[in-house]
Amino acid sequence: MKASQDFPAPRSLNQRLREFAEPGQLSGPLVHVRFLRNVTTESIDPFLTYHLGNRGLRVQVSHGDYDAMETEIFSGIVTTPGEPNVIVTALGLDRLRWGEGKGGFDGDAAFDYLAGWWERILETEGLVLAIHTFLPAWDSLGAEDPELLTLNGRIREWSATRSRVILTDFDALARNVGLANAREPRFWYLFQAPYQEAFLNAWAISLAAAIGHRLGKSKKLLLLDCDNTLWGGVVGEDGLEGIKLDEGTYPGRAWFDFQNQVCELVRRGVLVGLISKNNEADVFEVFDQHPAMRLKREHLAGWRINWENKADNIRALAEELNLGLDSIVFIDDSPHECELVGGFLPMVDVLPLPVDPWEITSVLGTYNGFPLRQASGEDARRTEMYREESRRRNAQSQFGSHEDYLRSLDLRVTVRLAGPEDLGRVTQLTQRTNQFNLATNRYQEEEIGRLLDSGDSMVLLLEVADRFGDYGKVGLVIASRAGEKAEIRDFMMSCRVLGRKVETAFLGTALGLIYERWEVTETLASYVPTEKNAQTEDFYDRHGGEMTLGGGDVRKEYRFVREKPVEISGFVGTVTLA
Amino acid sequence: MKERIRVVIADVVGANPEEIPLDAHQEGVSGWNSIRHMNLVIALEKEFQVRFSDLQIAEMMSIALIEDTLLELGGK
Repeated sequence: MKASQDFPAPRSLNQRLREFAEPGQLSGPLVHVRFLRNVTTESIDPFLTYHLGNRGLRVQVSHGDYDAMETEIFSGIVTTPGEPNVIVTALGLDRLRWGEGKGGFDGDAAFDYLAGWWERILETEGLVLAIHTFLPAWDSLGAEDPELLTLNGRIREWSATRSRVILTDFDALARNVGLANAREPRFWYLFQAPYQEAFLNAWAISLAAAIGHRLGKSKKLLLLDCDNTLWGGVVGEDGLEGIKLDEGTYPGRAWFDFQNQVCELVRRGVLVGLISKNNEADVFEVFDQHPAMRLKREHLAGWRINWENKADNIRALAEELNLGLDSIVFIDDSPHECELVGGFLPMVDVLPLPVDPWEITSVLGTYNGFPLRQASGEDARRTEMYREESRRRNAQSQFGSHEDYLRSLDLRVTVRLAGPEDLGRVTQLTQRTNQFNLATNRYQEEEIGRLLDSGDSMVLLLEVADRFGDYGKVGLVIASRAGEKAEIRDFMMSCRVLGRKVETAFLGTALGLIYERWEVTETLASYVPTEKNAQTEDFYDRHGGEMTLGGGDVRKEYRFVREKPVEISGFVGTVTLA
Repeated sequence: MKERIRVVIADVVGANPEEIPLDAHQEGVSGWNSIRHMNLVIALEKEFQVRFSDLQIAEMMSIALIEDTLLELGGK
């Protein structure tokens, strides 16, 4: 159970996930994690389950509709009472660029917008909010955009003083895995999924560490070997003068830095102890007399310095300090000792120290099982005042209602007849649309071509834009006429634009156009269930269609009549018929 | 090769390989949605040491089409 930065190999990851799924394997509480997002985040699930599982925690992960954070906040965040709830806002900058009208992205305006929504999420009692700083937008010219620095700086400041907020610093994660390994333009453009597995893994570690800490799953005791771990060399052979530990020169400097890391953990409240095969007097001679020792005797919670088995020594020391073995981290340079302790005490996190001195600081530098650094009490009190003030300002600048919010989006919907230039996109929509597709007929280009030429059919395209940009051609209706009646053969939309009543506006507008152009009074439509389109099952029912046939798991037929037009008042925005 | 592809698909959608016929198409496989398709692309690229183009990613919606694409790319 190593909570290190290591990327789990797929086989061991799957193996561990299967183990965690077995009843009784994980004793900790069930953590509910919900992503509100405007990017595809589903691929983080196995990593999050893995890293929380390594901390003894079970998890249920879910993801809100694409680009629907604001809608979900308005309809009320749903939490499970009595169990830990974490809301993660997972947002790409590309859809959040504030102030472009003013000649560029405005970091302050973007921050105010985000902080307003975050404050609203925090109004729900008990939940923990996980946020992140931002990576550059895909069309940016580089990471040093001052507006991006402003945005990220304000996010760090804001989160540092809020006890229920977890911040993942995407900047730092991207630096660790490298920006090129952090995200993949191919999957961003094809699937709106910007992050690569290495990055998702690092993000999951950060979330798991923070969540684990809140639930008391952080490691509490660090046990250290001495020779070649706290200093270079063997004190019993090399003597006080001979061991390598030095602020200024290599290799002693590496152990000096390692000790600084240990001291930082002491400041965070971690207990430190020694497990060493040595003469106790030799070890304490170094502690008491070596001028470069950073770790002091008074830092130590306990020690077992003798020639006994280290696993026994660890067990005894844990008992003395009244700590569970699963709260212990053990560091030793000897692979033999590491294997022995890991074998006898599998619940202890064993971290072997690398052979090369320049590598040793990477061990604690990438380990995430210890408590995170907290803002000091004094800082927290001072910033509480700022916080009240900024909450007031945000309340004034925020939208009062969902409708205000929708109005602010400046949604523009255009419905128009498809032309020959749309042949490719129309065919593609019929081929690719799975979830919001009522009949799921697939067409070839030639068939679409014939429909475009025929007076008895109509191919309608939906185009959507809002103040963040243009979504392009995202919906399609194919209708045909037979005598006095018309039929909607196909109704489909890309999931990217759902949740703002665009689908309602599209259906209403399409029906209106059919009645008018073909002078009919009735339009038929049908829903054909597939593996993927369950979410559209009651779409026609909800829009005033009268079911004439079917029900259950089979095809359903509907009748719409001209006297009863679709109610589209819920849609906030403009509809243009082109 | 179809066998290996089937195993990769089964892994990604969380099914037993035997549940997926060798002539499976995306629409017939429960759980093979657009997100899983992306994961499938990643898994196939790892398994066969290839890199797909955007068109190939969009088109390989069945075991047969995946096999064609892999053969085209000389997948190992």
